[in-house]
Amino acid sequence: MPFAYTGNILHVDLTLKKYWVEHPEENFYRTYWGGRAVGLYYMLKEMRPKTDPLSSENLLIFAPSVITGTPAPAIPRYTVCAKSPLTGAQGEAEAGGWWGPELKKAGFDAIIIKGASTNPIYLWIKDGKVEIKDATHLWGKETKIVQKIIREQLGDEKIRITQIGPAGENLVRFANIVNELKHFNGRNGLGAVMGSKKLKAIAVRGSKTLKIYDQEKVRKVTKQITERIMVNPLSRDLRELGTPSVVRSFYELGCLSSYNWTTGYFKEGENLTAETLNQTILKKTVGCYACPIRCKRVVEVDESDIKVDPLYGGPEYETIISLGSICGISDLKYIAKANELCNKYTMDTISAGMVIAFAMQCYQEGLLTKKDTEGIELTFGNKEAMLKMIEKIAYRELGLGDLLAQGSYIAAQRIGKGATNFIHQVKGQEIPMHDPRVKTGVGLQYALADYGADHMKAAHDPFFKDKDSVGIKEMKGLGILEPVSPTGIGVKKVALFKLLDIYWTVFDILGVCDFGYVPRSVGTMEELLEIIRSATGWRTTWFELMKVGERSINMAHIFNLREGFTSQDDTLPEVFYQNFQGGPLDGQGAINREDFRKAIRLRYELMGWDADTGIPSYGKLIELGLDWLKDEVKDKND
Amino acid sequence: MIKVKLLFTGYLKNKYLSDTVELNYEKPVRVFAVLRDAKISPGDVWIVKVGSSIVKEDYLLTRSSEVKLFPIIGGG
Repeated sequence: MPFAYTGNILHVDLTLKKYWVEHPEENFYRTYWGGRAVGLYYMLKEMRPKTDPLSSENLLIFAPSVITGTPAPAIPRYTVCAKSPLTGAQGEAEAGGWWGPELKKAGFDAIIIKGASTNPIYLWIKDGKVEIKDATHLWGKETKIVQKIIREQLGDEKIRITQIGPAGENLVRFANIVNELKHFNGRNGLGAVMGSKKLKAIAVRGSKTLKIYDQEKVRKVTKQITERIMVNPLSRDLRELGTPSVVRSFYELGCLSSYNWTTGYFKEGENLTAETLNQTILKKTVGCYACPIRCKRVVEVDESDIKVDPLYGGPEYETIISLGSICGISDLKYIAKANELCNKYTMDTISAGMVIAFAMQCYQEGLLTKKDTEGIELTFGNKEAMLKMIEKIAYRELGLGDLLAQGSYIAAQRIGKGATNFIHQVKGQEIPMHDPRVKTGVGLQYALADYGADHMKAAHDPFFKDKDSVGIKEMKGLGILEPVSPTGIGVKKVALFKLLDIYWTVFDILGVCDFGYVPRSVGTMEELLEIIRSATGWRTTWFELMKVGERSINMAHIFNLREGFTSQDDTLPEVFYQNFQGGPLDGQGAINREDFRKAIRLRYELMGWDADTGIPSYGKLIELGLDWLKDEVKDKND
Repeated sequence: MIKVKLLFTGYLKNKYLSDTVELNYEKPVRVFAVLRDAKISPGDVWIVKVGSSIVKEDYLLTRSSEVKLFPIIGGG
């Protein structure tokens, strides 16, 4: 009898309109646990190399973990996996909210979707029963309307719905997937994969209670973490200011990504701070399943010239910058409106802001003209133009909207004339809003992330800067004993970030929120381990969990190798090898290119990969129980 | 007399339950010594700014100054 997981994996073939349920052995769950590891298992087993991401042959996988739905703090997340239409690489994106736990209560540990429907459909899953329902009447509609219609038609206001909006239907390459209107599987364009399958939504409802091995122990640990969360300064900061709390530091330090990364100095930065947001447009804060932190912002604007619907939540830090200073915009109300539009159409706000900023720079440099923009004065700071561009991209209006919907990498190739000088991406995915010149470990992760640049691939450098920093004090159990400089790129930094990469990969696999546990918050490694043990009944260890994380990193890496990616793709955008321009950091900060390359080579070696090619050794695959993938690297290692 | 005014930002305000701390010194003093005297853990402080300049913790304060402290921060 399994504890905390259901033992059921749902397979759906949308071409044949059929489904069946697989019941894997316990060892399967103990090897892959959930999230990206489960997703990659099926992607590597069942998807042919070089599959077109927008074809029916792509898989689309929704995977919580063995412990998702456990009533412990900050474990609400689930992963969506597919081959990414934005990068052509292994794609994945995690989301919080309520959908993942509800899927578990409805009786499934994961959904593996293959094929494609010819007409719009949605899945309705309730207590182990599955229906493939017509969604013709929902196609083309915005997310709020779709959620309302489905709940009314099925007669239950508590149904949890994950879905795509028009951007997903229109195959925008950075379309995302949303649950509860405000929790996103944000990156990699997985909403377009959903759209290509004509899958509008998955509605779930469960009344089953997950069996927990030691409910009392889970309750006890939950209580002690929750009590500390309520008073701990880091957790309080997240609750009171949310992720925008970091705006002030970046703005005052002069590393706030601005004007398409041409400077870190944004004169109107005060307008974008969490404090300003709280004083002007904040309506309330909300949280995810079983989380006491409540870091999510809900904003509202109700003025004659601009209105923002609070049902779509509010902008996170990444959104405030990508739809703000990156585009030269300092009006929070317009940023909130842009966020609302992206949310109702389901577009990733990081990529959306970055492609618009790219187009703005192209326009200012004369690579795009008013004819290209259909009369829009697409200059930095033009907030009305930004809103218009979001509409054009979501609906792929002929011309610039359709072009930018391909993402900045493809758009730049098509524009030509040196436009590639104005894009900032890794593996085709636009970079997030944290500058690696002040946090070099983040830069390593940007370069190495198999799914393209990502800011949540490891904890950030400042948590490890001093012997008294939380990362050093709380993570000695992983062998993290010595502080490293946030701006250094030496061997100790590389070794540290190998561990941090694996550690947060474990979080991703388990659906654990980074904001609930060390180093970002107060739950300790010991407490998290106790929750996992008490939920599952497995006497697991951090040794075993770290191997689970490392296994999935190797699986993702092998997936990309067979897609044709090489070590040349593990690099940083050119801008980070240059000094800051303007502001307090003017003339400083450039990452040394040769040092960075050496760091990547060392990281490969630490992973058991070839230092030149990054190809995993046969021994590493054996160590991780991945001998079934040996043929994927055999020719490359010979 | 050198007056040093420490200005807290972000979660440092929550942790040290104040927006500012003021200390007086008879002679020039380094930032790390001020942090020690104010009982502020360097592990909580990511960046130190004096005026418009970003400085290291061994920076010598030779005259009355406002020293702004920015907390360690992560992603999101």
